[in-house]
Amino acid sequence: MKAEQTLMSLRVSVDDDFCISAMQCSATAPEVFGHDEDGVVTVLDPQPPVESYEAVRHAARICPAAAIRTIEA
Amino acid sequence: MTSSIGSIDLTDIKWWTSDPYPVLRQLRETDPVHWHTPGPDSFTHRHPFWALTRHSDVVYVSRHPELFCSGEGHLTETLQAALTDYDTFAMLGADNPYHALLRGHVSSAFTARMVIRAESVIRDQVSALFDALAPRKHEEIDFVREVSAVVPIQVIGDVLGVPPEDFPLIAEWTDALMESDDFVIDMETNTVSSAKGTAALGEMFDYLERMQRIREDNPKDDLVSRLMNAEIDGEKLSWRQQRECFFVLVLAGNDTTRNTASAGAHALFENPDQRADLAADYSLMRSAVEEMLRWGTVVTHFRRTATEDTEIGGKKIKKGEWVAMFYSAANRDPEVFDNPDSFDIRRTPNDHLAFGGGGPHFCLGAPLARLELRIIVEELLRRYPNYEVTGDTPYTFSSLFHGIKSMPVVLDPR
Repeated sequence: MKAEQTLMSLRVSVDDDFCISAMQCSATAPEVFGHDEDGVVTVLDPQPPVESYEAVRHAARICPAAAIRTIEA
Repeated sequence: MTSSIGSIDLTDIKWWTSDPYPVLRQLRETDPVHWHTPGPDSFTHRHPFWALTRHSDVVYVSRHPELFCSGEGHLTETLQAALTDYDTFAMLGADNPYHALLRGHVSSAFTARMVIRAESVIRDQVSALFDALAPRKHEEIDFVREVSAVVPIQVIGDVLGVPPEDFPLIAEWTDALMESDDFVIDMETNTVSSAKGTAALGEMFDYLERMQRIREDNPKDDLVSRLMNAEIDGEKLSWRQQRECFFVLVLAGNDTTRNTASAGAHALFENPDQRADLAADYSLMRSAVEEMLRWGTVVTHFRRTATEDTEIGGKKIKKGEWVAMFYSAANRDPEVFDNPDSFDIRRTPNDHLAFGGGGPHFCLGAPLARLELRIIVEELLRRYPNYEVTGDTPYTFSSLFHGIKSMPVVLDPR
């Protein structure tokens, strides 16, 4: 059971030096991504709950700056 | 204004120079996924396409590049084919993974953090510009030529490494390429060409070659130098790839911001109460800039090509068919925007598609454009909050770039 939980975990990080403030991530997964007042992306929840996984993966896929990294282990 | 759907011609350039929004609304209400065939006046367009006018459909196509690719072109004008020798569209007409690799070399100069660092430089440039206009503040000036066109060229010129004395050249090339008024159709190849545009491209690329020769021995801290040294899969970018990037940056980094600044200044003049509120409270500036972007929607549309048989809004789309996303229509979609035909600097949220509908081709210059627009409006209103538009504001002759060509303004009416 524990092993399965580990398998399911998703961590998200961003390389904010790449961010171009397209704001697609915060629109797709507002519970996980935000932006500071300059429009640079911030991660609100680096280990989001399972129900956010799909939105986070989608956000990473559509990020036009390829600034979002997800690690699934 | 109403007309039957069949007679609507979105490729009639003359039509775009007057108010296009009533017809776009009619189309969105009656046939939002519309099969558009070239009309008798669409001499720049020889190919049919699906015309999307709903916000949701434009977003859907933008975010599904696997179904709707860019590698077979991103324009509806068949002009593109006539420019094959120049093939000038770099990452706009490319798909991943190549698209992302090429774009990465360019976008590093335009990230949100890079842009923040540029703020003080841009503000100094804009301040100097308005100060230089002060002696003529009671006279009529052309706001487009003297303000809107100047700032973006200074900014993109600095990024590329073009010295200030050559900025007028950028303005000349841009004007020639933006305005499509000398097209000739080649009936044999069914393509269209513009002598003016072709000449401007030739001059631009000769200029780039001279820049590169200077940098061969003395690389500088600019984008032209960076592109000369950039690699994809271990290989240096070709001359063609470099000139495509240069072309895209010169044009896209320039006319779009110019036209949005003009549209915004015009809209603020037409809404004096909102202009006064904004001048008194710069905390409204960010939402005001977003509304200027929506209101101006200076790129009317881009296209994709279906990669397989698919569907949009219940209509069957066949593999290979062209799909045009009309941002101009999507940005007035009442499903997304209350009172879409009203200019409202407080509009929040403002999910406009002026930078595209999302996905891999989202405008990489968005943070820079937002910053430039904010600084232009802040410095304008700080000095001349009562400027007046004193005459007609004709639009550029183009179905792609929706921009005010000239705008007579008195900065400080007596």
